Amino acid sequence: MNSEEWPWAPTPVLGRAIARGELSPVQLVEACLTRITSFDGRLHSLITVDAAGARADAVTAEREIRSGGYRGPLHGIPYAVKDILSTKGLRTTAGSKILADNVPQYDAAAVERLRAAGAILIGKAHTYEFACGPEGGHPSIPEARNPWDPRCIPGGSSSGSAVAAAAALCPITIGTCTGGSIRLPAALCGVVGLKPTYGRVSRFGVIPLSRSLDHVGPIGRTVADCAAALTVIAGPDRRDPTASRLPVPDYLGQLGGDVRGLRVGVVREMWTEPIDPDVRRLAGLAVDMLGRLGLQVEEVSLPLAAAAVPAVGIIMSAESAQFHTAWLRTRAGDYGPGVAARLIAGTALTAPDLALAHQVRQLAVDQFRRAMKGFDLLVSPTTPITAPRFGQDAVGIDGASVPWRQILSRFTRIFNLTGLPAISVPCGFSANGMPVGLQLAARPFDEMTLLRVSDAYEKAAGWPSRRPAFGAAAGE
Amino acid sequence: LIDRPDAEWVRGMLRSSGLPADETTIEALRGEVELLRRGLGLLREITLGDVATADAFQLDPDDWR
Repeated sequence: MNSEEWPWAPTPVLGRAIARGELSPVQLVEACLTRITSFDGRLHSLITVDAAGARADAVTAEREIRSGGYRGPLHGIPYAVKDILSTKGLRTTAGSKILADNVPQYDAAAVERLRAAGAILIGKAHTYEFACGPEGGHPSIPEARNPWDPRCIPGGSSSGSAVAAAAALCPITIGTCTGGSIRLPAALCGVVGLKPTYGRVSRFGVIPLSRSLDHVGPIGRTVADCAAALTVIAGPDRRDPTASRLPVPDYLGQLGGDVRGLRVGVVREMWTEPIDPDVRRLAGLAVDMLGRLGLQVEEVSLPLAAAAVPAVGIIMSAESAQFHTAWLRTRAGDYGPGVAARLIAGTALTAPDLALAHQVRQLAVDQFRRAMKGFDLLVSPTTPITAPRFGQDAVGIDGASVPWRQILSRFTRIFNLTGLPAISVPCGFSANGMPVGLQLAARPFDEMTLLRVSDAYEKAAGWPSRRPAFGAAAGE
Repeated sequence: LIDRPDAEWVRGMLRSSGLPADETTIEALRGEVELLRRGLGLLREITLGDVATADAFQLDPDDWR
């Protein structure tokens, strides 16, 4: 494999090559930096690139590995993290003007764990301002662009993490998700995004959007990339009281194996109109393939799936307004206009409004718990549409003009509300060449089943072999 | 408050936050408040029954087997 091909390889392949001495971390970091230099001036996936730090860490990793100190599958692997995860000594802006010069004194827990595993931080990925929604960055920061068509949005708020993975600027990225912010950009950019169970990954050091809905999780070009990253970033942490003490499986080591006989529920309420016909067709074909892989596919009705959109909206608005109260009083003019309005609107909610949303949340959890006595997995499209273009306010679906901002996250929010682990895997391309994502969800802390089934589907479907035209070849 | 996104309230919020009370900002804020208002309306239609809401949101995998 030549150096131009290394950044496209899955993490386990890179890890094995590094362990055997066939690939040096220095070579791999240089290959990624070359791609960043070639393409990111137009894609804007990274707000900060730490080339010097990455090169120094690569030299250290190479020395350690040569002297017998190989730490595991992520040793020497470059990664980027969404710019709301604190990084010691490296600017963490949250995509905002307010934190434009913020240099943390400590690492977020996920970054700490990645460093301890020997992974190499290469940059901080673009995020919509304070992770406040699936599009709309601060006007002072260039918008990240979709590598499949730079005229289209990448989705967000983990926009840069998905773009960097899709364009093979680094093998692994880390995002955060409050209502779909890992799965939405993963689906729109044709990569894999995993929102783990609430409590699986510590949020310590993450600038919060909504503390009871925020999750940290990986994005990569393949399921194996996400499995490798989750194995490292998951685990207990006394600094985050929601972080679970349950043991962490070796997600990467346990990929593969038989998935036959697992029961998959097709959630009726998550296939309802409006859905782009291409999305419905491709997600339907993916479900058919799950059946051919030996899974038992049945329809299931979960009416409270629809309640997640308003319930998450209320909880997110109230909790984000609480976090931003001080800055809204003193620096309101430094927010982008859309985010300021969203945060101020949240201050109008009352305590009974928030209590109502939490009660609906409990109802939804109860309904899903009962349903999942009979199912190992639930399935739906990740998004009802493919990536809209910048400046486009509505999309055409079956002849109707639909305001896309009102529907984009309607299938993802329920798994933030219930805390269940959910993944988006690519399941094809629309007639206009844009990626479509399939969403699978599992019981709490059963990321292993989610990853195994996703991996089996990915291997059968073969979507990772497709590369975005933008950035497919060096020098393009 | 959320049920009354009237102009006076919107302008008051903008004054207290120091943002300009121009039409663009007022419309953006009104739109966000309207979204929340509609969301609350949908939630109020759900029959809650006797819901035991946990003080801290936690998931126990044993409950799900």
